[in-house]
Amino acid sequence: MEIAKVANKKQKRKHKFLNFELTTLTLPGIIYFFIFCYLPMFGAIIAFKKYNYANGILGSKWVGLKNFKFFFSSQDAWRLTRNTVGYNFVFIILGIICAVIVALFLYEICERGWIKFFQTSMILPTFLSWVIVGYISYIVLNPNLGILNQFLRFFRFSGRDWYSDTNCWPVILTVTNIWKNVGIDSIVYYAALMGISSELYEAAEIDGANKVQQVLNISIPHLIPIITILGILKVGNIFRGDFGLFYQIPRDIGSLYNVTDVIDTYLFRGLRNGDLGITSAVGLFQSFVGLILVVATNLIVKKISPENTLF
Amino acid sequence: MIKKIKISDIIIKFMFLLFSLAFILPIMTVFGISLTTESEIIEKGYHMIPAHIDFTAYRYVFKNPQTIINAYKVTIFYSFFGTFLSVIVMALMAYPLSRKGYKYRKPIMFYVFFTMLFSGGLIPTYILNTQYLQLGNTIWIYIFPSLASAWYIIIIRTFFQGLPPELAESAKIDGCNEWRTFFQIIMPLSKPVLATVSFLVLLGKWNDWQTSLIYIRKSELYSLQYLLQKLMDEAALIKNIMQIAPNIGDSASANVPAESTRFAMCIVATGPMLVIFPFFQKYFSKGLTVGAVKG
Amino acid sequence: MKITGKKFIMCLSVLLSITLIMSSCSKKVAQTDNKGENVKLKWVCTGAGKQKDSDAVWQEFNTKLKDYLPNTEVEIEIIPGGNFGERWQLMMASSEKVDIAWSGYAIPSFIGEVEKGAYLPLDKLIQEDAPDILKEFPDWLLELGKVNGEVYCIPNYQIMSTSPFGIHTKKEYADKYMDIGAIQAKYNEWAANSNAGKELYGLFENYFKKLKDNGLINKGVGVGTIKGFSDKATYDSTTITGFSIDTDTKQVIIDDMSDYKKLWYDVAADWYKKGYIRNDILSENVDGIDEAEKGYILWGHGYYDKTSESIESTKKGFATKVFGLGDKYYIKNNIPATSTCIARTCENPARAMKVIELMNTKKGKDLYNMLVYGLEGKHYKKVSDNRIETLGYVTYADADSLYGLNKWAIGNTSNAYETQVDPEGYADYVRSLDDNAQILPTVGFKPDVSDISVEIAQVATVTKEYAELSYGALPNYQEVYSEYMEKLKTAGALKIRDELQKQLDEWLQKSKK
Repeated sequence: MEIAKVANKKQKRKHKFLNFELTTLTLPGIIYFFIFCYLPMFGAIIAFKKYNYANGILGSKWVGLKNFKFFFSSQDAWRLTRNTVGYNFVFIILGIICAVIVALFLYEICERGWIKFFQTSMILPTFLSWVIVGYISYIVLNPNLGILNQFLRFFRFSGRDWYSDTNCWPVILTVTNIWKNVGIDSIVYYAALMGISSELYEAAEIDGANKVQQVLNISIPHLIPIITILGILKVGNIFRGDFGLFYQIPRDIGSLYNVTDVIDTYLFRGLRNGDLGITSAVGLFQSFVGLILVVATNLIVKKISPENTLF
Repeated sequence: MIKKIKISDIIIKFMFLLFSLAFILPIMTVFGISLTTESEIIEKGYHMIPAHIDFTAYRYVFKNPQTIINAYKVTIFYSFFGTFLSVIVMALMAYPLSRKGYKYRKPIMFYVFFTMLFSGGLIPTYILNTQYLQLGNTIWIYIFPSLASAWYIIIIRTFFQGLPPELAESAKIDGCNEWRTFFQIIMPLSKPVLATVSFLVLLGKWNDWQTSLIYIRKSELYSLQYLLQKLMDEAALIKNIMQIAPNIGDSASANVPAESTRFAMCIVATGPMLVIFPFFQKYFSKGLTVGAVKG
Repeated sequence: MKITGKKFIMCLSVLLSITLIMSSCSKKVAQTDNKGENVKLKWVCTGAGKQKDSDAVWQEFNTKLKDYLPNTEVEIEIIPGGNFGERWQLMMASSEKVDIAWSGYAIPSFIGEVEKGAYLPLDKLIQEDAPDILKEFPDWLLELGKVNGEVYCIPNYQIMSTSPFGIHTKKEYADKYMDIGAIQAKYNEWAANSNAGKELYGLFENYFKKLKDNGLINKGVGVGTIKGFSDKATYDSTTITGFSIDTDTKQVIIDDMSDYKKLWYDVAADWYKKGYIRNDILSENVDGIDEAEKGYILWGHGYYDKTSESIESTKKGFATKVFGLGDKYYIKNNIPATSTCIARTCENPARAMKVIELMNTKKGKDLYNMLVYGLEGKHYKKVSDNRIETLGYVTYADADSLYGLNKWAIGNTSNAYETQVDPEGYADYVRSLDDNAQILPTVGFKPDVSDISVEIAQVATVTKEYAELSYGALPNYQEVYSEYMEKLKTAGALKIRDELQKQLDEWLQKSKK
């Protein structure tokens, strides 16, 4: 009994020490987040105030939920929400599928030279700002001289005025978004694949598994943790539209707003007088909903595979 | 057997080639437009291959070589040093979070993740950085406020979780404390993820122009992208000067290559990153982890 | 763990509260100016940025300044135009010590900034410390900077009156195909008889048809600026985009709901169908001034009888015919595109005002020109008493020039030396135009928008969505137009109009004109 107790105590001390040491590792990060993220966070209170320079953040007049009115009482609130969330939802799912497929196929190539070449080319869009991508998309979609229409006419189809056809835009925007991000995303998944020891594949091949079976049983399960986690994180931003994408590519054409206007572009258009309270209010709303969705998604994931949860 | 693999290999490579075209052609277009004369752009719009090759845009961008070289110096310093610090801090954070036995795992994870969603906004952050931390208008503003990001911490954590737990166990048995375990065992095994994250962080810092916009007043501390943006704004402003001071007559302003400059800027900023990327790619290779575990 | 969590949050809150309280403390302000006191003022202005000789020039400026204002020193910071608005808001939010501040087109909303408390009221200061400004400025000039009855900015004087709407086109085409006399007559008729509008557009159409038949139509009509044609000349600004005042009837008009606009929508749609407007106008999205460069055959801009044609011809590189529609110049209720203010963080506003006075009056002419143009011999050559030739640049000194600031950013441009860019006697010409212009009765009206700010933002977003109606390129524009009208109403356009009308009536009553 005595021995057990002593052993138990030793264990506890060991654990305490272990936890203490690990905590020291986290200290730099914790201090960083505290100073640079949590301290300013209280300033979000601007969302409930009518901001006045002289009174500062604390002293400005409290207006409660008035700043939120701008978004909620807008006749477009439903359309904006539908667009923002709808697009993001599709982007997340299709983005993951495309990036994973690319990573898997890239993994099959053995020559370093080819891998380098393909990865470098896929990464190129990351260097282009949305403004430049906007110009490029215009070169492609221009009704008169655009490449797409020239291509169609070559095959005896008639070109279309893409900029006045609202039906194509969900596709155009999705393709553009994937084009811009697949390079970076696939690199992350590719790095994860690097962590699988090749012995596993060799053993599976000896057991008679073909390529597809190997992928399904080894590669993909190894990717599930990172896909899940990053997916949960992306859900947190599902109410935030990528401003550059939705503003530059449709060239801010009003008649397309029905399918291209998102919360962030709407905000940008309406706040020429620099109302800080309203901007902050909408941002707070986007964060808050994101939080709820993440917690919900996390709970769902907990039910399915508890080791892949965020927290 | 060997023949089968070859064919599928060729097919994959061919598909990737086609796929890569979708990425290479746009960059070539950007390069082509940067070499086009301004008047051709206005008359005929944007095309990939210019009728005449014209270096005016590049001459305009480099008209003051000293400022560009300076911006390169500043950007190189804070990008690399900042990335180095950043990755260390984030990896340090990610490691305990990956250890199942760590008591504070869940609350710290929430603590970190919360910052991804909620932020105080520009004004409170600005007040903090300039008034209290005195970072405004110094080189450190590029490094400290962006030291860590929940996104990358989680990527690194996931990778660490994939490492066999026996590693930490055997290290403890050998008498290592956590710091030594971290630096001498875990880090060397994590080359792929560290290379990936380092590159992505570096890329982000390299492309940053907003920090300069908000915090920097001294032109010696401008980042590369910001300097180029400024050139762009100036060019556009010269063309639109009539809106502010009406009725000014001068045709000299017509020679400012506003449109092609934008594209030249893109190429000037992109170049170095493209050169650097292959160095990171070295670490994206298979089998690096295998030997270590065995050993 | 949970307990420590709570403690943690409490510590955070306490720390934060201290932080925020400190950031909102205000400093004491000197009420009167003690002449003997050594004062250092910070002036934030727009320009190309710090130039090579900036320090040298500013040092000389401060030395000279002592002759006018002893014990005064000015530190100048130049912030490039594009960033100015955002930087300004950050400076004010973090209570940075700024004394003199430029304001103007780069500030998102002048009224917004005044309401947020960025600027100090200037009436008393002008009377006590800048009496020469009152003497030399035309009466109406300071009205433009008034908000809620108080002056908040000193407009930097440049040409203020709005000119008649100018039509620009290639001279050789105009001579052959255009009946300018008929157009001008019809335009004058339009002011009295609104049916004449359709006929007026018809006259332009004749011109286009002739050009098209002769294969000269090129890209078509420059829609970007010509759509401004749809406003009546005597409309004045309410300072809120989309809402104007018909100064004849003193009614607030919702621009896009007016008959003038509807006529333009119809004409634009018609012209687009007939091919007088380029068929990719929608995606081209051109709204800029350089429309001649983009190949348009007709576009609209300002018109100044003595100078426009020669200037435009030089700029465009081909002989341009410029003629005006109507012949009246008006002083309108526009927020000045460039002005100088005193920031709320200024500790010695009286001294700051004295410096501003020097920049805007004859007695400070030499100082003003030194700050704008630099040092004689190094940055400019003197040609005659009031004329110089700038060295190293022609119109605009950029960051790589030795030195050169914009005269319109620093002060009163009528006191500036003429450069090789200005036609002879330009300053007098401008002043005469302004003196003879008709001052619209609504000048000085700045509405209080705090109750309707949400509706204003909503209307702004709706307006942008339907902006393409002006291009005439929408196939089913009648439907779109009805939709637009409905949406405007739901967004609160009527509420805004009624509120503005109420305030306008009150204001007109009070300042019985």
